[in-house]
Parts: sequence; structure tokens; C-alpha cells
Amino acid sequence: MKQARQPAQEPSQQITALYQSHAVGLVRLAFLMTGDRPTAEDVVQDAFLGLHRRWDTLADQDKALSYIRSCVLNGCRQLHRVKYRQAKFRIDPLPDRESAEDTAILSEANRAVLAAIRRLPARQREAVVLRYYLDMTADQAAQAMGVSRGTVKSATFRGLAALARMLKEAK
Amino acid sequence: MSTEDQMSIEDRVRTATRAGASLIRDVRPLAAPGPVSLRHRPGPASRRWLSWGVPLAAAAAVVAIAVGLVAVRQSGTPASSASQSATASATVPRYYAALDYDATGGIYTGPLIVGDDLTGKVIDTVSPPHGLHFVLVQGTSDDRTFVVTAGGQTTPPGMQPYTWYVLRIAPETARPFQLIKLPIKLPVSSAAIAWALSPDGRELAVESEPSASSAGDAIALGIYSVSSGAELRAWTTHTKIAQAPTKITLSWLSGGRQLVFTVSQFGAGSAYSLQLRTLDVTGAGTDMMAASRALLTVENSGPSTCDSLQITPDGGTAVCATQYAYVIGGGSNAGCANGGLEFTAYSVRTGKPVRVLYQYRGACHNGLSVLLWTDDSARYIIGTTVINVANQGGKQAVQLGVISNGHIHLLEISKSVSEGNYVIVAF
Repeated sequence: MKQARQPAQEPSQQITALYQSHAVGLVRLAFLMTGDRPTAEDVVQDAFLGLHRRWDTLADQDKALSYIRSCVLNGCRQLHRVKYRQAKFRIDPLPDRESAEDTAILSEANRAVLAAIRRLPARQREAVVLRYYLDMTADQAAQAMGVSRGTVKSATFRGLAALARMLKEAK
Repeated sequence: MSTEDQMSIEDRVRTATRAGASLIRDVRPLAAPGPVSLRHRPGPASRRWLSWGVPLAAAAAVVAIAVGLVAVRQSGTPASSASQSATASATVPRYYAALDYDATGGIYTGPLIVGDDLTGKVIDTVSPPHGLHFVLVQGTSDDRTFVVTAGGQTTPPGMQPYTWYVLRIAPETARPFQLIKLPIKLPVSSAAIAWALSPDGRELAVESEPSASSAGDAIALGIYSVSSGAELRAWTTHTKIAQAPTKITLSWLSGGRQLVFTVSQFGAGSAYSLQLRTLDVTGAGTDMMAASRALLTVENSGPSTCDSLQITPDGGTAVCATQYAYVIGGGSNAGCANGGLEFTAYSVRTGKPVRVLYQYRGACHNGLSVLLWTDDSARYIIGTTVINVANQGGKQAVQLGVISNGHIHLLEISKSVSEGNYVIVAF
């Protein structure tokens, strides 16, 4: 019965709570994928707006975080597909101003690794970041990426090999 | 052998990703769900249209046209979820209004020019009411409504008395604009220094100062009903919060409950601070400072300073537009080329600069940047830069455009508006 349903604002409140709890983590994930903070925030915002639209159709709302993490990964993937076709406003963005603290945190060695990660093909990049940044198991990463466990293992292996090669060449 | 060489590639990935991720410490608030629009439309559109007697059918037609005309400047962008966001983010106001001051007299007696920044065409010219001249025009929360002030024929800009008008435009319709006089009157001894129309278009906030020393030194902030002209709320302060040459800004946050105003305080020499303060218009008290709280303070000294500080409608970001040696002189080409002139986004939460929106990298003797419009979170702004290449009498370069990710995309402004007035174009 319609009258027995939860108040209309409840999904918004739940989504807002989810955002408050996980937005930073998700933006970090998207930032590692895209290398650009504003874009990462856009992707996460889009994912949450998508979640809001589909909230009523989610089979298991307890799995909203898994759903949204997949949306973020998908959003980053889509972005890499289209980024070279975007013309007017997104050319060679000026990097954000970096604080002294940021500079200290991000040593040259870390910068090189992050740059190399961003040069990996999307699937390898996702697999490497999920496995070694989020410490996911192969099964968890497979679920987040929507691929098989075997694909994750092979993408991780290839990704690490490519990273080692790129970092060696960069020396 | 370096430390990196001794680490496995897995460990290097772990270390680097965690270090990179730790740079993200906060994120902007979640945008409200619904159609993505970077302009906050004032109130229910239908009610506003009805209020000025436009038939429903005409209103529907205008809405349909408006939807079709919203400026999306990334034609051909693929329709993925991320690209839709990028496309929507590129939605900037399409229409502008501008005056062209007479450089000698400082008084503009001509019409107000309403233009289309996508095509560069003039949509209409709006003549001033009989016996008056337009003084200033200011954008509101959509690109079809402007607040215009008019004064007597001999009143230069910045002097009282003003008469306020709301200009509503409906491009490509039978009635392309309406200029509606507002019944708002300030005390005779007051001069308005900043004003802002509320997001729902029903109230005008006006910050004013005494126009003569005999009138005391209190700064006043009032909220006036657009329909009746009645003063709904008022605050005052004897603190000198608006000191030249800093620019005073006054704006509403999206919800229409918070006003944000600038406080400028001078220290030793040329050092000064710009502070943004927020005032809950539903709160108690009539002391402008006691009833408000500080949001962000930017300290300034040296030739490059924050000339204006403007909050974004979502309240999360403030945009500082700098001047370089424009006010106090002493500039050098190297200083300008090294970032003396820029638009910088500050996080209101942390009080720190988080993003350089645009930085002028060329040589200049001095220069000025002016923020004309910002979207909800300063992802896209419209700004003007004025570059003086040499000393007085030298060449001046002016550019007005949409700024994002470090680049400026020039907008098509009608030739009827001289470049010298690009700093006062309203969006």
C-alpha cells in the first residue's frame, strides 16, 4: 500500500548518509583512476545521482555501496573513452595548487607510480587499484568490476608487469 | 640501490596509491538530485510568469524555448554518464546584459544591451525610463533576469538616488523583455554599495552606507520585498567593513536563507584582509556582525592581492579574483607572468586555496581579474582579465570568457559593448 511506504525523503536521507560516509573514499578511488580531482568528484556525484534515480529498483539496498563503487568505476571507464573527444573546456587542465604538505606526501617516486598507473589500460588499472589500494580479494575485485575472477587475476598480473616496465624505462 | 628498488612492485603501488589518495581530504556536498542545472532558477517559474500577467500558453512556449536555448558548448559530446555531466557542467548563461559608460563623463545615457554570448548577436536594446539613465546591471540566479539600477541624468555611478528595476528577458518571443520598476526606496542619506536578488526572486538584499558624513557611519543591510518594497529585515554595524579599494560583494546562497557579505579590514601598509561572513536571514538580532559568522578570511599583501572574494551558490567554495599591481603599482612583467593574476578557488571548509581556475601566464605591467559569474561550485566561472602591457598609454588587452580547468574560452560579446566595459557585463 502506498500509504504504508516510508516517507518520500527517506531515500534522499539514506543516500546523503551514504555520501557522507563514503564520498571521500570513492573520490579517492576515482582520483586514482582519473588523476584529476574535479573529474573524480564529478564521477562520484554522477554515481550518487544515478543511485538516487534507481534507489527504488535496487534489489538489495544494503548493497548500495557495492553498486555505487561499480558505478564510479564505470564512470571513470567512460570518461577515459571520451576524454579525447571533448574539445572546448577540458584541454590540458592546470594542475591544482599543491600545498607543501601535499608535496611532502607525494614524493617523486610516488608520482611516477601514479602516472604509470594512469597509463595502464582501464581494466588493468582497475584491477591493480582495487587489489593493492583497496586490498580487495580477486573475488571482490571481480564483483566490483563485473568480470570473472580469472580476468581480474590476469589483468592484475599484466598491469603489474606493465608498471614495472614503465617505471624501469622512466629511470 | 634506492629504497624503491628494494620494494616489490606491489608495495610500490600500495605506497603510491595511498599517498595519492590521501591528498583528497574533503569533497563538496552532494548536489541535489534532479535535472542538472548550474543556474538556480528563482522560484517556481510558472508563478513568476503569472505574476506579470503572461498567459499560460505563452509561458509554456517560453519555457520550451528556454530549454532549447540553454547554452551547451560541447556539441557532439558523446552521451555517456560521465560526458553528460561534463556537458551539463559546460552549461553557462547564454544571455548577458551590459552598459557602455561614456569614458569621459562616467555616465551612460544609452540603452542597455542584451546579447547572446553564443552567437555574439544583440537580442534587444532596452531604453532607460524617461528622465533616467541606467547606472549598473547585475545578474541574478538565472540568465533571463537582471537587476538594473537607474539614476537621474546627472547622477554618476555609485551615487544616490537609485531606482531599482528587474529586467526579465524572453528571447525570440513576441515580448522579448519586461522592465519592471521595484517599489524599493532607501533612506535619502544612504547610498547602496551592493545588492542581490534572492534565489526565488522575491526579495532584494541591499547593503548601504551613509552618503554623507553627517549621516553617521553605520553600514546597513536590508531585505526588501520586491512586490511591495517593504523592508522585511534590517541589520546595521558601525564596524568599518567596506573600505575602498576592495570590492564589496553580497550574495545569497542557494536556499535563500543565508546572505554572504564581504568585510575588508586594512592592516599595516598595504596589507588587508577580505573576509566572507554569512548571515542567517531568519535568525535573531540586528547587529550585522554579531548576527553573522566568518566563513573565510584571505590575507593580502604585496602587488598581487585578492581583489574580490565571491561565494558560490552552494556555499562550499569562494572564488578570489586577483589584481596584480593594478591598485598600488609596482608591478613587473615577471611578476605577472608568474601567477600574479589569477582566479583561485578556496575551500570554505578548510579556508585554503584548492584550485587555480585560471592563471594569466603572459607578461604584463599590471592587470586585473574580475569574476562575473560562477556556477554552483566554481567548476565553471565567467571572468574578465584586463592586462596592461606597458605603462599608462600602453596597450591594454581585455578578455572575457568561460573559465574552467585553467583555460579561458572567449565568449562572443557584441561589438556594441566596448572592451573597457567587459568588467561590468552581467550574466
